[in-house]
Amino acid sequence: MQISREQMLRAYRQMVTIREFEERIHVDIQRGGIAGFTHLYAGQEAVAVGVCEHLTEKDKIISTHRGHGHCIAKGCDVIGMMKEIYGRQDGLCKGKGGSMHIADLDKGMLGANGIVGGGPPIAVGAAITAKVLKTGGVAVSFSGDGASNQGTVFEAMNMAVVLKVPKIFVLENNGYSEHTGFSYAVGGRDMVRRTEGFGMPVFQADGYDFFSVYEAMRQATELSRNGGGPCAVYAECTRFFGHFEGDPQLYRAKDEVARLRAENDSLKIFRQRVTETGLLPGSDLDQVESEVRELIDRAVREAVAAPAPTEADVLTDVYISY
Amino acid sequence: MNAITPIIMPKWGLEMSEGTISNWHVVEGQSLSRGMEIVDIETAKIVNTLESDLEGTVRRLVAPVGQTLPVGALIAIVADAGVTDADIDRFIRGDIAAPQAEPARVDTRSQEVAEPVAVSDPDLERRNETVSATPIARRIANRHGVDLSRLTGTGRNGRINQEDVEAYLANHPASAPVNTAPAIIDNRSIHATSRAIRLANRLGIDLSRLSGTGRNGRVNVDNVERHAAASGLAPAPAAAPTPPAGPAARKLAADLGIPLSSVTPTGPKGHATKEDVRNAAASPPPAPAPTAASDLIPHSAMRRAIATALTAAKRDVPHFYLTADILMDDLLGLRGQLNAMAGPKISVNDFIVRAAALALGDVPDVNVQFTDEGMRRFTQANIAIAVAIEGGLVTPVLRDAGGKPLRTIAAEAVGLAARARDRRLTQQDLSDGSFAISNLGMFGIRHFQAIIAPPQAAILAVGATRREAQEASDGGVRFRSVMSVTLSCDHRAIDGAVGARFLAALRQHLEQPLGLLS
Amino acid sequence: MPKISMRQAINDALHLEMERDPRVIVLGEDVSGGAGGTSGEREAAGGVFGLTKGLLPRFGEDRVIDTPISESCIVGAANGAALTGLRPVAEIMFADFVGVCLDQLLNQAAKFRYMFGGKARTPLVIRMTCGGGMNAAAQHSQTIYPMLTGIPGLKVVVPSNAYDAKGLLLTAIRDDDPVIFFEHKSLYMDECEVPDGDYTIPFGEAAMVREGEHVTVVALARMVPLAIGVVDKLAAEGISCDLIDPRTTSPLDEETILESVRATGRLVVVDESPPRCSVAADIAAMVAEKAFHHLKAPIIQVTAPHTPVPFARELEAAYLPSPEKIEAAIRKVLGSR
Repeated sequence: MQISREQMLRAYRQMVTIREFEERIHVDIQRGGIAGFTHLYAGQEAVAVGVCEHLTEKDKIISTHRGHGHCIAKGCDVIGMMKEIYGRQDGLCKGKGGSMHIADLDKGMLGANGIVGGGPPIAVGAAITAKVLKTGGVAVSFSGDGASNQGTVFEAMNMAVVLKVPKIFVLENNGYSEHTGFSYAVGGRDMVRRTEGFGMPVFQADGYDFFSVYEAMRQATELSRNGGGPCAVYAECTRFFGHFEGDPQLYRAKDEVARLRAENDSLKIFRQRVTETGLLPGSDLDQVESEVRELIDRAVREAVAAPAPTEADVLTDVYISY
Repeated sequence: MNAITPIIMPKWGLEMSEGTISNWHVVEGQSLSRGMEIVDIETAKIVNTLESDLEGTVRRLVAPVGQTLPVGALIAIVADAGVTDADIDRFIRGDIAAPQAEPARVDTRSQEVAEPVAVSDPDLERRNETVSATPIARRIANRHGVDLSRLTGTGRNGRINQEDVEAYLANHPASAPVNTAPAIIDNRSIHATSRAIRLANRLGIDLSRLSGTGRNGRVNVDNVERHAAASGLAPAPAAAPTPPAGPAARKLAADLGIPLSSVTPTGPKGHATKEDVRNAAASPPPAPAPTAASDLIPHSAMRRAIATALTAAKRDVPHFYLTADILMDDLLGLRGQLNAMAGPKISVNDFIVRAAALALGDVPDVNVQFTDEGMRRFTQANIAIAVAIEGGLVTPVLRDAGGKPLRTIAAEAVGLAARARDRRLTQQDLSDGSFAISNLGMFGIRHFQAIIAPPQAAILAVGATRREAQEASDGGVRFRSVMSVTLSCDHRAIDGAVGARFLAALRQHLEQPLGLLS
Repeated sequence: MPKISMRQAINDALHLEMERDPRVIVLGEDVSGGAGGTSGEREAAGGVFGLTKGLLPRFGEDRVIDTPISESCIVGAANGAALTGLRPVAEIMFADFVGVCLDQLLNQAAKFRYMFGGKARTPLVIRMTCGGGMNAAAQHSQTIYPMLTGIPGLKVVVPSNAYDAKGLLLTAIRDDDPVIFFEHKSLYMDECEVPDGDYTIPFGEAAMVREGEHVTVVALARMVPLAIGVVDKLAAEGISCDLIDPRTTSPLDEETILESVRATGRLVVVDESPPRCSVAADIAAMVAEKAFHHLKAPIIQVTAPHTPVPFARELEAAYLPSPEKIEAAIRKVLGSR
C-alpha cells in the first residue's frame, strides 16, 4: 500500500471534519437550532474516507439516511451542508432536502437517501452510464446491515453481476438496523457470504481502521475500474450516536458507547498508527483539528445567519419544465 | 353637426331594379348603431335585411311597409337632434341636398357576416369521403368546397394530399369562399386552443396577430375575446346574453319557465340570483315566451323569405301530385361507365336535369310560368335546382339544360351549388326558372311532394333509388333499381293529363339513357 | 402517409431516437430476450408485445439491456443512469408491476430534483403496458395512471393512437424530467396514419378529437376510440360533442377542457380506471371548481367500478366502460337541465 503524507493528512482532515460536524450538530439539535430527522455518522469515519479517497468526480456515490460522512468524504461543501441542515435558502439543496437528502451532483454525490435500500439500484444505473459512455468511472453505493435485508439491494447485486458493470457495494455493518441488532435481523449473520452468493468478490476491512478500508477499496476499484464487474467492500464499524437524534438507545448496554469511544475510535486509531510509526508528527494532526473546529464554527455561524427560504420557493424545482 | 343622412333602397346584384319594404326593424326616434338591422327588403327572389353602417337617430321612415320603390329611392332619414322636422321635410321634398355626397353605406348581413369558415356541405363531404385523400386534405377541401374528385393526387398510390388541395386552391381562387369577410384565415397552424381557433374563425380574427397567455404561450379563448373586444368585434353572443347563475337560480328559472337570458342579473359578478329570476317572472314575458326546454332563435332573412314565399305558394297555388316509378338500372350502368372516363363526374341528378329538360321539350305545356297577365311559355328549359345551404335553401337556375350536354350540366350544377353555399348567387342565377327539381334521394327519402315556387308551375320531387323485387316475364322475380318521382303541378297552368305525359316522357328518357348523351 | 399500428409507431420512435441520440438506452425484462437460452437466438422476444423488436441487432447489448426480473432495480438503474448523463427508456412489462417498484418512482425519480434543490436532471422514460380488454385479470390489466398522476415530479403520458404515441414518445425521451409512458395493450394493433420521420407532440396540450356544441366528452387512452364511435353516432342525430383527449394527465391541459365546458355547459368524463381518486374525478373536480356556473347539468363520470379487474369475458366486459355506457351518459347529461 502506498499513500503519501499529503494524502494521509487530507484523509485525517476529512475524518476529523466528519466527527466535528456530527458532534456539533448533536449539540445544536439539543439547543433547538435544527428541525427534522437527523441521523449521525460519527464513529464510521474510517469507512467513508477510506472509500472516497480512491474516488474522483467522475466516480459516483449514493448514500443513505446516515449520509453526512459520505457527503463530506466525497467533497461536498461543509458550509453548504450545514446551511442545508439548518434549512437555509442557500443551503446545498436550497433548504428543500435537509439532512436526509444532501446531494451534490457536480461532486459525483448522487444524494443521501431516506429510503433504506433505495440507493444500490440507482448506483447500478450510474455504473451503466460509466460503461455505456466509457467514462472510466465507478459507481459506489453505501448501505448498512439494515439495508442488507432489503430486496432492492439483492436486485441491485444480482443485476450488477448480470450486466458486469463497474459497481462497488460498500457494506457498512454498524451493528444496528435502526433499533434492532444485527444478530437478530440478519439471518445467517453473514453479509459477506450473502454478497459472495451473487457472484462477486468481497474485500473485507476493519471499519475502525482507515488504512484497512483504504486497502480494501484499492483492490475493489482496481477490479471494477478495469472491467472486472462489480464487487463489494465489507467493514464492521459502529455509530457513536443513536439511530436518530433523540433516540434514547434503550437497546444498547449502558457502557457500550463509552467503551467503543475508548477502544474503537477511528480517529484515535489513525493518530496512533501515524505517530507511532513516525509517518506524521502529532503537531500536524493537532493543527488539522484546530482548523477543522474553526471551519465548523464558521459553518454554524453562517448557517444561523443565512436567510430562510420563502414561500415562493415551495413551487420551484419540481420539474425542469411543466 | 346638423347632418341629414338619407337611407336609400339598396341595389343587391346587377338585376335588382326595385325592392319592396317588407318589415321595418326600427321606429322613428330610435337611435341607430352600426350593424343594427334597419329594414327587410324583398326583391323578386329574395328578402334581405339592410343593416346600418352609421350612428344617429332615425327621424323619418319615408317608405311604408308594402311599398315598392326603385333602387336609389329614399326610404328613411337619419339625422341629429339638432335637425328640425322642417329641415327634414324640406330635405324630402328635395329642397336641401344631402350634406354627404355618398348615401349611407349599407351592408347586407348575408354578404358581410357570412361564416368565415366554409359552411358545411354534407353532400360534398360525403362525396369527398369516397375519394382517396389524407384527412387533412379532405378537411381543407370540405372547408373550401373543393370537390376532390376533380383533383389528381400525388401522394402514395395517387392519394390526394394537403399539397394537392392547396395547389388546386391556388389555381382556383373561386373555389375559396372569397366573399367571406376577411378572406381566408387559416388559424389551424397557430398555437391556440381548439375553442380559441373556432371563436377566431367565427369572428374572422387572424390569430397570428395575437400573443397567447396560455400554456407555453398558447392562445386561449380569453385572449381572443379580449382582442375581439379591443377591435370592436362582438364575440358573437347568443341570441340574448345569458347571465351566469347558480344552480338554485337556474332550477327556479327552469321551474318557472323563465329563460335566463330574460333575467336582469344583480348578483355578484353579474350572476343572476333567485330574486332576479322571480322579478323576471313577475314582469310580463316577452312575446312569444319560449318554453323552458327551448331556445328562441331570431329568424334570418332567408328564413323569413322562405316562410313568406312558401306559405303564399301553398295557400294560393292549387297543387296536384303525380307519382311515377322509373327503372334506373341502365342509367346507373351508363353513369358508371361515363364516370370511369376522365372528366367531371356526372351525378344521377345531372341525368335527371337533362332528362327533365328533354321531357319539357317533348311536352312544352309544362315548361311555363303562370302569371296574372297570362301564361308565359319558355322555349328553353331553365331548370331550378334546390340546394340546401346553411340555414335554408336556394334554387339557382341552370339555363337551357336541353341545349347542353351532360358534362356541361354537371360542371354548371357544381358551380351553382358552390356559389349557393358561398352565398354568391346573383339575381340572374335565381331568375327565369321554368321548372324545378328537388332531390332528397341522397337522404334515403323514398318519395315526397314538393311545394311549387311561383311563378313556376311545376316541381319534380326525386326520391332515392332503391332495389325492388319485380315479377319478371318468365314468372320469376328480378331485383331492379327503382326511383320514385313526384311531380307537383299548378292546376291553374297544367292539367292532369299534361303532367302525366310529361312524366311518361321523363321516364322514357331516364330508362333509355343513351338518348341523354346526344 | 403510411398507416401503421401503435406498436409499430412506438417501435419506430425508439429506433429514431436511439439512432439520433447515443445517450438513449433501453432496459427491461425481455426487451430483446433469449439471453442464456438454449437456442442461441439472441433476440427471442423484442419485448413481450414486440415493442422493442429490432433494437438489439441495431444498437447492441450495451444500449439494449435485458435485465433480470427486478422491477425495483430496473427503475432504480434507469434513475441512476438518467442522473449521470444517459437518457434511459425503461420498460415495466405490465403497469401493475409498479407495485413492486413504486419506491423508485414515488420517492426517487419524482423527487431528486426537488430534494436536491433543483440540481438534478432525470431525463427518464418508463414505458408500461396498461389496460383491460385481454382478459388478463386483476394483476395485468390495470390503468394505474391516476396513482402516478398524483405524484409531483412525474409526468404522465396516456396516448390513444399510433400518431400521438410516436410524437409523445419522442417528446418524452427528449424531456428532461421523468416521464411515465402508458401504453394501452388493447390499442397496440390499432392503426392510423403516422408520418415516417421525426415529430413531437407537446405535453399538456389536449387533442380536440371531435368538435361540437352540446356536450364536452373527455376520454383517455382506449376510451378515446370508444368515445369517437359514440360521438360520431350521436352526430347523426344532431347531438354534437367536443371530444377531448388530454393525451397527458400530468401536465393536464385544463384550459382546453375548461374552454370547452364553458361553451357546452355539459361534461362527461370517460376513464377505464376505478372511480376513486381517478383522473376522471380529478377532471370533474377541476371543472366543478373552475367552471361551476357554466354547467347546465351535473357532471357525469363513466369509469370502471371500485373493484379489481375481473377475469372472465363477461365480467371484464361488464367492468369496462362501453360505448353503450358512454352513450347513455351523454344522453343523460343532455336530458337533465
